[in-house]
Amino acid sequence: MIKKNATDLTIVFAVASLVTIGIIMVFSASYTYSLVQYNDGLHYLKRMAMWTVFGSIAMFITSKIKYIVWKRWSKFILLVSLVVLLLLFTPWGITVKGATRWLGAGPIRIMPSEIAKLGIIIFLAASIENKGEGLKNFFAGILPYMALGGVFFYLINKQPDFSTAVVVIAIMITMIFIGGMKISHFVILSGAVTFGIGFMLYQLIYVTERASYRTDRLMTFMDPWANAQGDGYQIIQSLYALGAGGILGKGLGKSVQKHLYLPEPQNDFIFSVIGEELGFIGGLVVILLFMLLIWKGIKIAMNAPDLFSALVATGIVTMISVQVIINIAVTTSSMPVTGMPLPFISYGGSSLLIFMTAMGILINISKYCDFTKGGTK
Amino acid sequence: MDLNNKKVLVVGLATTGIPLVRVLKKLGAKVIITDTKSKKDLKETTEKLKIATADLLLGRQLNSLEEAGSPEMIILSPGVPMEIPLVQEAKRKGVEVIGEIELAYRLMKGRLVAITGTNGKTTTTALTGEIFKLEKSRTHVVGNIGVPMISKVIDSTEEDFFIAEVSSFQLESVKEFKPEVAAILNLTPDHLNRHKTMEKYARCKMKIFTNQGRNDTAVINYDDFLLRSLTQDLSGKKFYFSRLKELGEGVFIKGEKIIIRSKNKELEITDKKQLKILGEHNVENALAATAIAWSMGISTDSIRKGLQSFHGVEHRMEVCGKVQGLTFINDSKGTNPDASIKAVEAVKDPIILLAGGMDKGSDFKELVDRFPGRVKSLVLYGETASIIEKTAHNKGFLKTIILKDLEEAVKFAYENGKAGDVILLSPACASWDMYSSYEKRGEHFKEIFEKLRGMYHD
Repeated sequence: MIKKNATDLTIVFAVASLVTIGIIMVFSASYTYSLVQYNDGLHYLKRMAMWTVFGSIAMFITSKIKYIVWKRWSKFILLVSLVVLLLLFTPWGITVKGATRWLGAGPIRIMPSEIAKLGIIIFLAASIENKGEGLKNFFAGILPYMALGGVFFYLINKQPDFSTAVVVIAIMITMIFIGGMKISHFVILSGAVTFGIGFMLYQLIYVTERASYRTDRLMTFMDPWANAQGDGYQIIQSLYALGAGGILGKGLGKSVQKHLYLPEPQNDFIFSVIGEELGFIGGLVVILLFMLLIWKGIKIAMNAPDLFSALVATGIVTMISVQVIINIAVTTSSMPVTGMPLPFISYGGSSLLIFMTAMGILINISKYCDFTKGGTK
Repeated sequence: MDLNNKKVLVVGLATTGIPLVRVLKKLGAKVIITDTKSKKDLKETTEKLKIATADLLLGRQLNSLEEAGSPEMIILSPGVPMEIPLVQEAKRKGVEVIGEIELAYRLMKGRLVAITGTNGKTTTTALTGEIFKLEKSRTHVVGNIGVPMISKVIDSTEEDFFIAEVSSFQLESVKEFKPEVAAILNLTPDHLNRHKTMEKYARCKMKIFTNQGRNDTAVINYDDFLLRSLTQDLSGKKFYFSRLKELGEGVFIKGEKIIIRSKNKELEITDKKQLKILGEHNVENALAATAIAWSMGISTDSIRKGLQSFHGVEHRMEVCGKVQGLTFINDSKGTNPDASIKAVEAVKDPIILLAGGMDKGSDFKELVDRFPGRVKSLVLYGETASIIEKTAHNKGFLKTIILKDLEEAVKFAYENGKAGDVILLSPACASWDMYSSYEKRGEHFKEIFEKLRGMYHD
């Protein structure tokens, strides 16, 4: 056994910085909105602070748990993920704005899809390692994962939460690819997924009338100003915020857009408020912190002690990068509007808890990495 | 609520003042009245009320509760700001301060519907009232719309229905006010450019839902993004209406029809062409009224009949008639650009738009944006005339003229218009630079119209 590395302080620094920016910005962004909605300006801040405490504890604990433990429990974790997703279809599921994405227990609400994201990362990593060379076989290796991915995609998309469902699929494909699938299988798999998702979008846009909102979203993406009071509203307000911020920003607390122009400024569009108050520089700092985290994550994955830990690190890095890219693309109108929280920063307890838990696991893996060799797999 | 022998101070003696004081006296309260208007201005009112001179503190703002004889309760007329020193002192000393609708609510018996929003509330309230009256003979249409709610509560019974139009001002001071069905139609910022004001405005509006319980219903405009996101966490049931989207549950347009969808049943109410009120904003008002009536258990038959027979509200897109082929429409109630945008969009024929009035610092760009293909010329008068003209010219709309007053404007429009045109008074501004109210302005418009009609009738 090699000597254990010390706790990776770069990760701790990046996460602590992002979470701190998150708390400050959630407070700044939500104050007015929260005052109108709940007659309590601190409604979101209090909850965010509470979840940060939970998240920090979780991160500390998972950084101490030897990562191998997760492998042992991987099947159970998958089962829990499936069960919580299924519970959404029972009366415990809470519906907000037409989507059933939360499970309620008193004042605490959790998002099963967040648990499922981490759950599938752990299960898949263990399973791929177990399979070894079996992954090269299409029917025994790839097909079962496609079925599993299909089940998760279906359950999450059913809520509906199309974007999170797509994130899960992206994580899975990346992990299987890194796990050592054949290039030909990769082409088939990504072709099938692209076709499947493309077909679904086609169905949604041209056939199904129920989800007409998504059609409008695409139209809105082409020209937000065509429907400025309706579907274009959010994105236009987001662009106003970013534009008004300029290079240096208006200063912390000085956003105008958060005052009931940008709906739910503490959620998916918090990056717009960061851009308005802290400017391009502030936005850049946030992006650099994410890049630091992603770079560290990739290094850990490359130098991980075994395939399981390499794949877990890969999955976690993919989860962060995909979400950051989608979130920032949406707020800058580089892609159609879809709900996707910014990791560590957007308001949302389950998201914060799961991301911090994942960071703990990543830190633990890094303790067993051999960075001297510069990449094994 | 026991007011017997209680010392009550009434602040502000506006339209609500007379019935308010009468009710208080009937309940045995000792009433003291204060108003910044002078004794002379209020002479008529005070004589009607038979109040002893000693209990009238007029012509100035009171500085302390002591001056008012240390009342046990204060009732504010709509429009009196909560920030005045008297109210602040009362709050500090624990003296209860409520508004007229709060008092009315505490005294009423029966069932209550409350409607608010930036635009369309008067029409929606009137239309909802019309629908209710077809089925419930004891329906009172009250609030901002004209009849103060307080004047109808004393003899109310459990069989009564109140349909109340409430403003954000009135909602500011509510405490127990709990409508069975409460509706917010939209939350467009009106003359509120500064965010502080918008925040307060939205907070006041949201108070309409504050006391609602599990079995009460919030009727919400699905198309208003901000409103929809602010109301996602209410304690009552939600029932949406939408002009743009077919909803899984709610009231919406399918094809050209107004549809209620509830518990997987789809009920067709009427073709929207059969509405007598014009414009897409009125379709929205009809959807809101339908949603409210349905939530209160009114039959689809009555909703249909009400929607098809309702002719609109005075001074709100009121068609006066025709002279020499020119149609005259009175929309004096269009006191902000947003209301005038809706008016302009509602008319199909070429419009000669009469606009202008008191300056509230509004921005007229969006209004001018609606001109192409709709407005052929713009006739302006009043304080804002040159501001609107400048906006129009900047946007490349050059057919404008500024005249002295409304009368000259109407005459000019009439002389320069041709058969088939519409002369639309929708000022996009308040009336207070030249008139005491938008009603007076609208009446003046109608008088001028009648004169013209008289001249050319034979």
